[in-house]
Amino acid sequence: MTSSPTPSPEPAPSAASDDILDALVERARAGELQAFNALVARFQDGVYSLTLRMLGSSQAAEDCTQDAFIKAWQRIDTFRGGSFRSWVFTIAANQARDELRKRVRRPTRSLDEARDDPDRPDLDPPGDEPSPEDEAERGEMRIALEQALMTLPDDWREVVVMSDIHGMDYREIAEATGLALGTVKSRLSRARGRLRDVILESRELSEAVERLGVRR
Amino acid sequence: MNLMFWRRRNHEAHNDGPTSGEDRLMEQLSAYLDGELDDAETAEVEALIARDSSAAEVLEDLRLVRSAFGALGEVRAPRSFAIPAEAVAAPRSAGSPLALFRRTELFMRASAAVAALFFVVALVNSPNGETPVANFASDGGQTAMSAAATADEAPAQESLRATEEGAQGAAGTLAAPEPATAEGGGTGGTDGTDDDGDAAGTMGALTAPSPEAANTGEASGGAASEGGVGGGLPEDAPTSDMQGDVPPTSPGETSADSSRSAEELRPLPAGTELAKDSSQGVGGMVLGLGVVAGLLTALSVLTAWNRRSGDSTR
Repeated sequence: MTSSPTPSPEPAPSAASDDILDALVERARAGELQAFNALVARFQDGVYSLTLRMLGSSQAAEDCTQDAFIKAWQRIDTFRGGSFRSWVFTIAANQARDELRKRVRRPTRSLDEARDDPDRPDLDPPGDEPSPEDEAERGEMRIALEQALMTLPDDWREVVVMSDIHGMDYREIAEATGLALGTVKSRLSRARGRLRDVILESRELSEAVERLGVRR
Repeated sequence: MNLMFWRRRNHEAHNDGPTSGEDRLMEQLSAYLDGELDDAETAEVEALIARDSSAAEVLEDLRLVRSAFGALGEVRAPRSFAIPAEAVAAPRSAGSPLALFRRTELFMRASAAVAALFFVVALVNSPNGETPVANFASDGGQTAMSAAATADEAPAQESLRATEEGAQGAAGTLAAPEPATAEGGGTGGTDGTDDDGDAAGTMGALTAPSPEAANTGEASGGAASEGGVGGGLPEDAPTSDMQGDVPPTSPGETSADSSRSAEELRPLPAGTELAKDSSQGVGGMVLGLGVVAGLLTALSVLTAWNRRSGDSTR
């Protein structure tokens, strides 16, 4: 599994940033590519993260992310307001789902394989200065968690990534996936249950998560 | 962490099917954690975790799981995904004519369907319950054939002149529907006179540019006029009843007795053309509806094609 965690969650949008975002969206809707590329710069980490965790391959995630932004640009006239982030995530999730459908079988890799993956991007969290011990421990834990994510069925993983990693609420997830709210609720619950099982099966991971919980 | 009851079956399950009581409890706890419950459900869950320590432990585990995966955060993109200007075409801006055209696609489809429906209704729904097709079938096509034969006898110039006269009277096209009779259709050109040939001649001229084709068109034009929208009186309605508004003579009436000669037909009053024009008006309405339906359908198809070709380039 490939991942590069960024521990800081998405900053809460302020009114000023919302205004800037709205202005960028309007300019993009008017056909200004420069404004759209400013939106790309703003959301590309999130879109890439989503596709990476849905697909489990950085190369596939790159392709999917690029395709999603191109499609968003081509269809910018269909954006009817609301959350631009959710709209882009919806396009990206659809792209990733299409890619998953094309796959004959889903690759499953061990944690060791994931560690040795030359395709694996930087796992170091930016903006953090942990001790070398903490850094190593966190790195291991992140890899294990990413691996745990990949044990989930695709449709469960999609929901838990959107919710727990990207902080989307049930309504946003339902819109992005086309699922009913009840299905989102159900899948998220079961996905968390499965992840909990995986964590419990690894003593190290379980302890690491416990410590994480204590620290938090 | 103690989630044994939960672990018993969740490890194997992967479906969105009916949920058990435990599943439902898990869903409630998970949704409670996310703040997705309403007030009543929230109170219910809080009461549960207050009295059931295992439920409280499950909730704590869920919180840890969510925190652990939330800490993964976003992955830094390995490169910029900005779109180079030369790589893609400009988007269809919301205000562009093409975008407006796309938005009208649904309207055009609906309009085409409605126009087509009216076209079919106008074509089929004869006032006396008969259809041109039924007429043709019931008389074995003799009416149409006799019309064609009679028209062959008539000079082509007559048909053309009838067409011209029909055109002159076009102002009254929709003024009054033509009375229809059972045999009335398809014989507008029976005696080859101007009086009876004009309405059918108009229809023939609309469908066939050559005199020969116009002859054939007279028969079909007459048939079409019979089945006009709202046209005609009941079959047994006396023609004298019509004289107040519409002159009695019509292609349908005259063709009812095809043995009558042109001389037997009394001269038409001044308003005759209005009545006969009504037949071509009804037929014209049918034809117009057909044309509108066809145009709208073509526009709809064109729009859909354009959209698909646009999608394929993405």
